[in-house]
Amino acid sequence: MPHTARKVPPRDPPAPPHDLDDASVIVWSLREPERFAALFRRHAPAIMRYVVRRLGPGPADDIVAETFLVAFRARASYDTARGDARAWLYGIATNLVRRHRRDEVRQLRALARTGADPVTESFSDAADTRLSAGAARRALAAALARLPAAQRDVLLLVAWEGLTYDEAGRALGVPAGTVRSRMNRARGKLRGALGGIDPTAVTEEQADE
Amino acid sequence: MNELSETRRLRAEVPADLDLAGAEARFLAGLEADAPRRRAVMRFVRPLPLAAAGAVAVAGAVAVSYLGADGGGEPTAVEVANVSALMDRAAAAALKDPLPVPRPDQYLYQEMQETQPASASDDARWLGRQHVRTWQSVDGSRPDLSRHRTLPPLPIPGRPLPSTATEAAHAPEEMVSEPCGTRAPIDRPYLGAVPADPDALLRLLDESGGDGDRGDRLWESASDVLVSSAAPPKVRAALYRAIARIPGVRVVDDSQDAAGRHGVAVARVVDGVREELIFDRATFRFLGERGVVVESGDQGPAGALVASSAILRVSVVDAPPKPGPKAERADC
Repeated sequence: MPHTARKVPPRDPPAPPHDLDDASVIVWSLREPERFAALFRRHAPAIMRYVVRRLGPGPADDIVAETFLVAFRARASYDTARGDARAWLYGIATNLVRRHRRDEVRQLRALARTGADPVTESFSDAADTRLSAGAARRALAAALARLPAAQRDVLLLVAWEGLTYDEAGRALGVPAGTVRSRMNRARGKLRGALGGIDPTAVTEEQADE
Repeated sequence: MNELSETRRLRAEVPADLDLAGAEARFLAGLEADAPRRRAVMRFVRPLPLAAAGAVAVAGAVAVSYLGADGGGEPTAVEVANVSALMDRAAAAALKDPLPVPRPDQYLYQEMQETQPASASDDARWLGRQHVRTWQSVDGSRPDLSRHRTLPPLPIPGRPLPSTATEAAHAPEEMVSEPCGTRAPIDRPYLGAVPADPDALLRLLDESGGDGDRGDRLWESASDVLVSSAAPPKVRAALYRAIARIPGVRVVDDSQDAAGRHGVAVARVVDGVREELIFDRATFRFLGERGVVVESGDQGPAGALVASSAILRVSVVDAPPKPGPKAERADC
């Protein structure tokens, strides 16, 4: 694909587009908006999985599309010193997920109550055996549902998406120290909720029951 | 196996190669629709969660009528003005706080107890309890240590204690957390560098995040700070006076912390749960927190305990004990 060096930040040497970091793609997209699609291709798979894991497939298409549209509209204010836009995109996605906070909590409570997870039911037929949630998973779901949204966001960004405290802080617009104290509080609550339960006890059932 | 690995396993069956066609089509359509009005690029990067804010407002309205009613056996709420009176007394008591000023190279030691509902099934529910000790590096330059120990479970009032509750209590656990670098003054374990001024504190608390409307954010940040840090007496006093200025805060005459100590509380209803910050009735020292359902729903029937904590001890020490070989390590 053609490109010229002047379209990327001066500190970056000329490189083929697939080697451009996110910041360079964003800068480039200020002149050529369609370039922003590269960011979608690069990060949408992970963001999609994150959103589906939190809310299920239902609202995921909309949230993922909206994440990248919000990012697109805000790209002029992106801090181009950050080569990797992952934290920024997770932050936007997390804000959008929060609009569905009640659905998220309702589904976690359903999992806690019934042992069946409405979020993952459409993926479970891929496995030979269906895992019916054991006591630990149900207790965990109940505890996750009880967490303040800010603590749940931090916990899931770190535990599921592998963000560092620093990245999670940038995603959520809070200092890493705040992320850590939220993380500690969240973990303390989960630990308390799992107390006394053997987390390895999982019931296996035949797919056809 | 711990709560973090258990969290990682949750919904791990969601595949990594989900179909992106629908999302991409919507994204590209939006990109095109946006192109003509490219000057409107400077939009909110972080849109407010409007739906959540609306829901909170409703919960707040319910709370006022609930707290206004003096139902039999329910905690009695008194007038807003008394929040200031209570927080003034707590502030005055804080000014006599004997906690020594820690040096940057020392540690803040905290001993707490926590209670929250646990369940193995619909029928097997109980109150799980744990004892937590933390050693936090005052200047954040050294690793922190925490130790957790499961305490014997309690029955939910009016229900038997299920046998599953007492089986297989967790072994005590230890966690070492690597230093996180410089933190904002409001996020440090010892609030030696924040202004002892209620208005300035409210601004800092508002900036430190949280959800929902301004009152929710302030309340959540203030409770966090109160539970997880220590402060010079003047800052502590200012923090109490700041809490008195948070909208929607009420007094609850009788509350009980996780260690069973009764006290008087300031409370705010967030999402159908009355969150209480409990103070000793005689000394006005902060005891701990409690959350109680006020709107029957997914979180349980009205009156159900959501969580409680008790601060048992706070002191300044030179160093944490040596972690054992099985201690879990956490990065910053």
